Amino acid sequence: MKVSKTTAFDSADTSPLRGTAAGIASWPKKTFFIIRRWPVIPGMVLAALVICALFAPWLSPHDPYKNTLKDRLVPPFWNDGGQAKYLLGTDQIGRDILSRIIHGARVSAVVMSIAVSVGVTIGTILGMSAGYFGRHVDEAIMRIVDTWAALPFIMVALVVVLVLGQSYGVLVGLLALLSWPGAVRLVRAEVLSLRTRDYVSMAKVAGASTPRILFKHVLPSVWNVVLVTASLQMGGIILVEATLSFLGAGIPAPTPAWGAMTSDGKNYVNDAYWVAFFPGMAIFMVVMAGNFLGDWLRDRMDPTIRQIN
Amino acid sequence: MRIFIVRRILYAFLTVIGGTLVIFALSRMSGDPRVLFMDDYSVIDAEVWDRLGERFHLDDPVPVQYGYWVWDVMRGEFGDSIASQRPVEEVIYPRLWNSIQLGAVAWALGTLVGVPLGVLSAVKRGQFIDYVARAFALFGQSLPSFWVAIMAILIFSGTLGWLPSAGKGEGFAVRHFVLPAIVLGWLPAAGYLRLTRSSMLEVLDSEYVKFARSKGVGTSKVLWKHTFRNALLSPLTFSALLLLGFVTGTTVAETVFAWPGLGRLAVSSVFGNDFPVLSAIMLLLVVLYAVVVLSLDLLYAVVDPRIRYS
Repeated sequence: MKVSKTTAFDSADTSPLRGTAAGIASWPKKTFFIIRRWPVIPGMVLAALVICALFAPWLSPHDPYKNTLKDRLVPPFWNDGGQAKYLLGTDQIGRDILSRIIHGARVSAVVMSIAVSVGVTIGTILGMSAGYFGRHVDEAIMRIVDTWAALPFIMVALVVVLVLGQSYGVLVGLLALLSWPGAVRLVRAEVLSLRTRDYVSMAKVAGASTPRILFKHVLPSVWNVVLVTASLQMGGIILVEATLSFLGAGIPAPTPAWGAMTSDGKNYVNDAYWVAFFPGMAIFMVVMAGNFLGDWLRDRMDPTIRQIN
Repeated sequence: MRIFIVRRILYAFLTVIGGTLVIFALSRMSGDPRVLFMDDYSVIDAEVWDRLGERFHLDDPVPVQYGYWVWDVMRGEFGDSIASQRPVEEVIYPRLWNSIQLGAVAWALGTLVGVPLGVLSAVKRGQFIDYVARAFALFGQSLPSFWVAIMAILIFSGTLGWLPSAGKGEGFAVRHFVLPAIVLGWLPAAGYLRLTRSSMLEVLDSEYVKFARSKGVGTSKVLWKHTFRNALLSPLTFSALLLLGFVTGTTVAETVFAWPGLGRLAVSSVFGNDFPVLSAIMLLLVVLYAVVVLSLDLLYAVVDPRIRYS
């Protein structure tokens, strides 16, 4: 193995030579070292997402809902005919794209954080039960996981949205449903190996109640896995949210959501690439940041989990 | 081994039964399934309304309704499509064939690009080609496929005018396949690449490969015979997950490229309230998934005897 050529991807490598580079290097080298070692860029992207979501009304230069029909399809400022007023241009009814992207961060951030936390919490509880109790409980939970995995999620989601209507609640609920099976599988596998450990048996012999064993003794050991699952889910959930909103089953229309904005731009793409291009880039950056962070956390916390997500 | 097979077949059955339960529940979610058959403006006269009620056995308790529905489905009677007033099978079959064609091309593309690139990236670890391959994988997993599709249309059919942007063309028109297959195949290619790479690295680091090397076995023989064969198992498991990603991917790719396949049919059925068609498509996909998982499990057990006993 070539030690000098390890990268951020391979943070799991704990070669003794790694730490020394920072000590003797000059500051540009040091900076590069930190960027390779820590997820600085993904962290910044996710921080930007959170800041945009929290402070959208103060950050965005225009009202994301206000259409100015005389300024329809204005290109970004660096293109011919672009105006400095609209940095990333305007859409087909003259709304500022940058403002809409900043506001769209709200939908993505809110939906992603609630869906992932609800889904992973449920998944963790079920995964712990399946792994710890085994036998019938395990069978029952795993069969439900299998069935759920077999269903074409995107179609189920479209039907549910059609029947129940488009709203935050429905969308978050659906995406939470998407994220729990993954957590069940990973947590269950971890608990299966923990169940027979001495300290768990000891707790049992000492007379600890089952909930106490699960929450005091087992849960702390699966925290790593839970965290890794949650971060690996982020990118996927944002992508599915964007896909649903692209297909017309996301948050209802005037609210800016990145997927729906890309969909709006679809019909104008040959004359006005920017309407579809920038929202898609926003999705891409957040998803990539999530994937990077997830990979990094997984490698750092538990190199033995080699799941593809 | 026999117990293992019986067990797996039972699991596959349970999955399908679970799937029918969910699909049935979806059809009854709005209370009265007849509501799913109309949009906001349609007018149904009382006679048709009653006939539909009888068709779905709405006077019976819900479990009995479910029983009737499963019985119909088992005999292959999905009813008529609302949109086209033709039997559901007739509507689905040509679409299914189109989707299979696109799916097969995209899958072949994904495998033929992903697996060799994964091997190359593992062997040339830390070198330029490895970075390129991993960037390719990273982009494939992070770029929204609908966006890639739109940008591909902009560049290759709009600006350059090389390829058609929509439709399937007559017969097997290769030019029509290029863009949808690339859009659909990128994600599986990325998955295969990452998995092949990590699995290859793991095996390359194992004792028996080191032993073979120290014994003086030639590089290519170590690579292909000792490493690649053993590293191929985990990408194989991925194929089941791949199928799931494919369903979403096909839905998007077919919608953007106006490909006359199942995914686009499903989307238009949702918005056109064509529930008979939609439930048939969903059930088809559930059965397909159960069969694929079952055969992969069995294949796995044949390849790796340890699995039979776990």
